[in-house]
Amino acid sequence: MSYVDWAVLFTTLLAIVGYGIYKSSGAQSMQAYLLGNQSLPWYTVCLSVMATQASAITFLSAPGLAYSSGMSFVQFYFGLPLAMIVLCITFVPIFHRLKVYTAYEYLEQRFDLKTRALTAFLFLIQRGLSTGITIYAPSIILSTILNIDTTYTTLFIGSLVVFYTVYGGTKAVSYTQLLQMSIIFCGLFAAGIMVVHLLPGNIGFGKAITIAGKMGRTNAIDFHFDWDNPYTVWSGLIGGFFLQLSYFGTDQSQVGRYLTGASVSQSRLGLLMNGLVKIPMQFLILLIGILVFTFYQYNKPPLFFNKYELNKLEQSPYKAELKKINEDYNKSFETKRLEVIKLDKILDENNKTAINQQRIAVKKADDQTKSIRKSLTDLMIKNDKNAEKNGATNDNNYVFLSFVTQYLPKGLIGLLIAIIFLASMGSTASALNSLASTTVVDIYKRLINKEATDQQYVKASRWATIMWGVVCIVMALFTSKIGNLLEAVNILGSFIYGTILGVFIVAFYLKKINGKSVFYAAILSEIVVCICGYNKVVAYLWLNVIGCLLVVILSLIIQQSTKKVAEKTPTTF
Amino acid sequence: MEEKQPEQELPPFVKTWKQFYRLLILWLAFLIALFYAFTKYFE
Repeated sequence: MSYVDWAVLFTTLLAIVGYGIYKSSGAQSMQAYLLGNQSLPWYTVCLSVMATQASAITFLSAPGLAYSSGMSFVQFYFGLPLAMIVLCITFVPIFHRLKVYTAYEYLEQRFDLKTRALTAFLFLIQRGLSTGITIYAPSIILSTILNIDTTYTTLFIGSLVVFYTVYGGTKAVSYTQLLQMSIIFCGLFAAGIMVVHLLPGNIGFGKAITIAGKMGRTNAIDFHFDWDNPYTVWSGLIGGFFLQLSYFGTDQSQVGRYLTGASVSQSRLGLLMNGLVKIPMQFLILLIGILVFTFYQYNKPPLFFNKYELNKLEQSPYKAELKKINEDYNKSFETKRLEVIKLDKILDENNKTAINQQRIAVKKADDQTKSIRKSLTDLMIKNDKNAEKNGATNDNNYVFLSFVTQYLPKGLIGLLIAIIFLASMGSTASALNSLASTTVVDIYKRLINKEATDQQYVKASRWATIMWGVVCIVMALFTSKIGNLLEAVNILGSFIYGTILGVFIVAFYLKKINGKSVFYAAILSEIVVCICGYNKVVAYLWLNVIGCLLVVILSLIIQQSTKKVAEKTPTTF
Repeated sequence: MEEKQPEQELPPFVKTWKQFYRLLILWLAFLIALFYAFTKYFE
């Protein structure tokens, strides 16, 4: 990176952190520290909710996914607008009316303390683990650019986020997210324009997508029903709906964001606007990925985007095999490039038969390149038996990063790297704030110290933020063993979200069910979900549906059977 | 001043929250149709 890029990167980061601290100016009460005095307008709520969900992983993995397997990932978000509607009708008015700090507080009012504690505990496990991944994602960027260990980069990002989250509380989180998202939108727009600009002179935006389409990368919609495929319209609408509903309705990192809204209307509007904008935004990010794909049909991409893993192989006894693979790859790429140029010319003639024939020829050349890459990953596994398990054979997270650092002009590189940092910081800050509020409100205040003063609780919240910051940074240091980071976060969520959502659905809609029934139903459901997930019985999105439905059904069964037992037992007076 | 009840606070652009929800569902249907056309056109 040039000095200009470093200057842009550090100026952007410091300006945003400074702005967040200035706007929040050291919250004194618990209401201010954890809920921002419930004073924020809908657009801050909307951008805050988006920034919380769109971590750095979104901007690293999504273009990489589009590059390697097309745009089908967009379907993952189809359930989101529907989930926003259910949230606005049910969750938001109830949380606002009861003036709760956390979602789990409501469960004690509706059921009992043990149900509240169970859901809070499940949340703390899930969020604590996934925040580690969120911190790790951008730390690989700096380590790749500077060629330094991810430990130092993880510590730098983690410490910066912990600093402003501890100081300013939830308001600092929201205000920094407002600026973060604005810069992210501008930066991505600029990146999209630059990719098109870097394509060969005769390849415009439309033709670039056509070429990617002929090579199977514009597969945004798949109406086939397949239990094992996580990216179809049906899994997105049904599985995605349950995942998003549980994420936004029961994950404190999101509940904490929209509870800062000045009124029910402001919170609702923030969520509904998120429902309007999220899918097009994700589509555009994936579109950048396929534009990068077309760019690399004319410019030779690295044999493997993760330089670190490639260097490892170069230092191994398999150096000679790697050299041979590299030579084959160069030849194969050149053949493919010529076929793509032919396709480009034939597209201008608009002859459908010729286009189809050439499409087959390009696909054949593409398959040849893929098989060479496969022999490379096989070699990696030969060199290190755990390579596949550790995710070393998957370079999706490095595709966009490699393109940005190699081809974008000075200044824009710094801005795009800053975006990835900002996105990570935004979601990490929300997570730390929510982990702290759940720890203090649901555990410390409820179970350990009921009589403390408001200021003592603020102090406890600050210490809880620091503690979770340390835990998440330590988790991040172990995250390098995980493959595609975006999927890892979603899979982890799917193991737990369904069960928590089931508890909330029972709370809202099945008024006759008591705390004991829902508590045991939740424990049984979680066990079944973990077994299904571990054995990969279905694609992970469906785990949300299974977990939620199981809690509802088992609660009804347990309630019914305990009622029968109670009726049969003679009452003594 | 009396605090406004949730249902009394109206959304912008439309008359009721129900209409806003319908608008969002229509937007989703439109996006799915648009992406389907995109898939078919470029495949």
